[in-house]
Amino acid sequence: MASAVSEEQVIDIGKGKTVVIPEPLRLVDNGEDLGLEQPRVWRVLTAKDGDRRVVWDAMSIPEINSARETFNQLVSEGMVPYRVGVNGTPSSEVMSEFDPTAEEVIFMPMRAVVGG
Amino acid sequence: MTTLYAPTYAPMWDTSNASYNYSTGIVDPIKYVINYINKYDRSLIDTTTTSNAGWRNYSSTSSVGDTTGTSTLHNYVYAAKEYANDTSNLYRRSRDIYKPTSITNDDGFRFVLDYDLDAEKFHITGSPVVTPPSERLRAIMRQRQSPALIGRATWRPEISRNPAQNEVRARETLRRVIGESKFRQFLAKGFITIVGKSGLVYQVFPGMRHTIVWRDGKPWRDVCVVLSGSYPPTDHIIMRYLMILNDEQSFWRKANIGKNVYGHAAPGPTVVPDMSRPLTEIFAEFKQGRVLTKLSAVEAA
Repeated sequence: MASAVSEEQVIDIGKGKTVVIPEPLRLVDNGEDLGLEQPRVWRVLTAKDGDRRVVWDAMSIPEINSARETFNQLVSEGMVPYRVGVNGTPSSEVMSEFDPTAEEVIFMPMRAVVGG
Repeated sequence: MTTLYAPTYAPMWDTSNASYNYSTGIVDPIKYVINYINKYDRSLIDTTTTSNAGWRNYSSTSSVGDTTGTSTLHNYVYAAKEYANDTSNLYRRSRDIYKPTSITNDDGFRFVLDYDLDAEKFHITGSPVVTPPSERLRAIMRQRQSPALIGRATWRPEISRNPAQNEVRARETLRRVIGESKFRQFLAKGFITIVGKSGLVYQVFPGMRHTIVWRDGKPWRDVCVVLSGSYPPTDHIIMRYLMILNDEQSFWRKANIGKNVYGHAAPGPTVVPDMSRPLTEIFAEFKQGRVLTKLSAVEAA
C-alpha cells in the first residue's frame, strides 16, 4: 500500500490485507446522495466496519475502468461478489466477472467462512 | 407526627392532602424528597434558576413562593427556607439528623420516608398518579398489536436496539440482500428462514448461533458456519443467506454439523412472558391496585 494513499480510501479486508480504492471511486459511510447519474454500490463486508461502501458512476468511463480493476483485485483477494437484485429484490447470484450494470454488489470474504 | 405528601408539580405524583408544619424545620427532608423525585425526572425541578436561598423556582404554577396556600411543595420549601434563615433553629445542626430513619417501598413504587427530628417526627409519602386501569389495558393492547422489539431485544442481545455502527451498516446491507419482507421477519422474530434448492429449510440466526436445518417440517440438524473474526452479528446472516441460496453444497462442506438435538419442539418466536397472560387477568390486577413498575432500579441509580 502506498503511503500517500489516504486511509479513507483503503478497505481492511481482514487478515492484514487491504485493498486501495482508486480515486475516481468513492468510499462512503452511509447512503449519501452523491448526485451520480447511474450510481453503483459495492458493499464489502469487513469485520471492522460491518461493510465498506464503494460508490461509482456507471456513466463515467474512467470510473468503470477503475471499478473493473478494483473488482478484480477484490476477487483475487478472496472476496466473492454477489449481485443484489434490481431495486433491492433478493438475489444471490455470484458474479463471475465485472458487470457495470450490476447496481449493487456484496463482496463476501469467503476465506473467513469456517465451520464453527 | 406530621404528614407531608409528595410534591404537586410532578404530574406523576398525587397532589391531594398535602400539608406542612411551619415550625418544625423541614428543609432537609424536603431536599431529600426533591432529590428522590429528581431520580424520576430531573426536568421537573429547576434548582439552578433560584436567586435566593434555595429552590423556589421549580414549577410553572403561579404559586411559587406563595406562603398562603397549604397544598403545594412550594409552600413547604418556602417555609423551610424561612426557617433556615433563622440561625437559631434546627437547621444549623448536623445534616445527618435529617436523614430519614426509614424508607419503605410497600408496593414497589410508593415511597415512605420517616424522620425523627428531636421530638418531631415526619412521615412523608409519595405515590404516583394512578393511570386508570382501562387506559393501561389499552396500552397493553396497543403493545400486542406490534412486534415487541423491546422484549425480544432483551431476549436476544444480537438484536439490541442500540447496535454498534458496524452492526447498523450490516443490517442495512442485509435489508438490501434479503428484501424488505424477510428483513421485517428478521426484526420481528430474530431469525430468517431460507429454503434451499435441496428443499431443506434453514433457520438462520445472527452471530455465532447455529443454523437449524428443517426437513419435512421437523428440525433435522444444527450446523455451524461462521465468519472468523469480529464481524458484526448480522454479517453472519448475510454470509449464510448468500451461501445457502447460491452454493448449498459449499455451505455444507464448510459446516460443522451437529446432531439433531431438537427432539423437542423447535424454538419459535420469542414470547415475552407478560404477553402470554390474558388481558382479563392483567386488568383484574390493575383494578386491585398492584403497581408493576419497581422502584428498586431508581433507588439503585
